[in-house]
Amino acid sequence: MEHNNLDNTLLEDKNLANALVHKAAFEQFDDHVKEVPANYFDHQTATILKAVKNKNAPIIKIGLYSKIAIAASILTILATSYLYFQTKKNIDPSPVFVKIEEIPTADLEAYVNSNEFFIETDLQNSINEETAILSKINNNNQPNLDSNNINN
Amino acid sequence: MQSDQELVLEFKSSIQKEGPFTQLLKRHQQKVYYQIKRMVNNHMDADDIAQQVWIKVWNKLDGFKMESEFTTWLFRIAYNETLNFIQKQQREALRQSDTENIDYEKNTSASGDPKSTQIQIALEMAIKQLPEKQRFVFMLRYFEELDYEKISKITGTTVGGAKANYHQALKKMEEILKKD
Repeated sequence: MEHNNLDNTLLEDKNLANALVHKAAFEQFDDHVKEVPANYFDHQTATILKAVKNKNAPIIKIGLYSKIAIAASILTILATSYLYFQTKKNIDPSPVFVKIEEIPTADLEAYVNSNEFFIETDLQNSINEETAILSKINNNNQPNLDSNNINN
Repeated sequence: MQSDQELVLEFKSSIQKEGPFTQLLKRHQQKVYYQIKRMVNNHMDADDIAQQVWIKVWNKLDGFKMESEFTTWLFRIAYNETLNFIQKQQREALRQSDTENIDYEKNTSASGDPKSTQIQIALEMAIKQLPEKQRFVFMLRYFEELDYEKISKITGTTVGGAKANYHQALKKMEEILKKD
């Protein structure tokens, strides 16, 4: 009964509308609504499924502070690497042995000339040391000799 | 054949949601599209709105509590999306300052069709001039043949309010048609 009453009410409502214009006008209106391109609903299904699949792609969101932390870490690694390799390059870990015969004469002369003062000082120091040793030896062998005469 | 409720439950409980969703989509897409197109009278717009509706269904179906029928919930989404679209169009039309003299006749489905009658054109224009809510209620009642209880849930009004909307729509159409 309730179902019939509902149907009657619907029918009455539609009849009221049909009284305004002919029922055919409403039918034509709806016929136009239902005009769609060929295979439209199949295409719509595919489009919607594609759209929801794209929405399901995982989106990794990185917050601002995380971005800053990542950037700082990368910079630190780069800076550390740069400093490490620079330091390694400047330290000569192993000495290079060169035979004196292989050094060009010009280089030797240049070295001596640029370090002349130090060489002379070293030489004089060596002379002094040897003289002292000789004096000792002489004093031991000849105790009456005047040591001042030998030094001059 | 699984019922809407069974498909919804399967969607909620399954990792593979596409299967039940596709079945719901194929089952109801035509009705949703037609109802939207009755409102906007334009295939491109109806297509856009319908897509938005189904994307929203996908996103929100896990949260659907099944306190009402799936179709009620579905049409509620369609109702909201359609109204949002129409209101947005009206705001843009106002911005472009051509809303006062909208050429309804130009946008009717019958325009350019040699077989169309003046009555059909008049009817379309009358429907277009209805306020959106009245138009939606009228369409659901007359073309989808839904009862007022369902219409009230879809439009977020009372049963009495839905009935009033329908009869107000009839009265407005009568006034417009008599003018013409």
